[in-house]
Amino acid sequence: MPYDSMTERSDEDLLAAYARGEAEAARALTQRFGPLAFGHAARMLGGDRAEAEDVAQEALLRLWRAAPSWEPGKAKVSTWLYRVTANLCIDRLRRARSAPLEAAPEPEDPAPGAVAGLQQQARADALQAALDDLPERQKQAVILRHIEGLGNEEIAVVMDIGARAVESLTARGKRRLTELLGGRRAELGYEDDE
Amino acid sequence: MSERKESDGLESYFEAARADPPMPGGDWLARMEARAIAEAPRAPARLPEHPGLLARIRASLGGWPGITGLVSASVFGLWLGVTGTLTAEDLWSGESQLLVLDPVTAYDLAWAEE
Repeated sequence: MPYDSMTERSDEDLLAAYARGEAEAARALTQRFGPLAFGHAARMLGGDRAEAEDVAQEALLRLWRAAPSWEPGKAKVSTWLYRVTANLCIDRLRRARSAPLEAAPEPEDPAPGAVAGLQQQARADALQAALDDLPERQKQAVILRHIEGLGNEEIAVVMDIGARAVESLTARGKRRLTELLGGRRAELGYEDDE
Repeated sequence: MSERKESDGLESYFEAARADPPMPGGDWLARMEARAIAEAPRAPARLPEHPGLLARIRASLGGWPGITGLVSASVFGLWLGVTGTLTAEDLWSGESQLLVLDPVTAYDLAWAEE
């Protein structure tokens, strides 16, 4: 089947085609879900691209192996992938925390100068640094809700908790983010905006 | 601090993050594609439909040629039985015209001539 027609097919259709051994479905699924898994992993892992690539590769591998027994209608492919990716990230974060400090990657400078034109990047970096200070579950909930744009119901499925617990986690996460970022407004060019 | 006020204060940060999503490199995506194809279940061989009883009988008899031969032999046997034109004695006495069929092959003749 031509690639163009693949792009219009639903996630579940593509996964079923993949399970039947269609190579074009494999390509289309990788293009659709590779960036999703990588992007979520990178945000969960504080921007570490190498780690994010490893995690995303593992998550995709699990998706390929789950394809033959995928039950249509049971879960959205993207929801399933967010969940697997986040769980892999949390495992890595916990291992890294228990590892000796010298083994941890050198953190990037979270506060590049607030140069005109770079403010957007500086704010994104500052947010990432602040997210990295949150407990894992708060961080996951805030990323899924406010950056990935998922609804609370879907986040509840991803995190295997109730919708009210999602609201609680995002509220606490945002409160902490506000505290962490509040002292950096001038540095990040907010006074210029006002 | 109300949640609304927190979201308002953080929205520009979230917007900045959404505007700059981490994207994987093209080489990584190419490797993931190759891996996906390598992991893909093999397309199952196209199996023939489960044969029915008649099809299995036909196959066991050697297909249509076998069935044709069997029917011909059966009809001939029936004809012999019904008409009674040929008996075992006819065969042994050599009176039947059927014995004009020479069972000796050209191969046997070639050996005999040597």
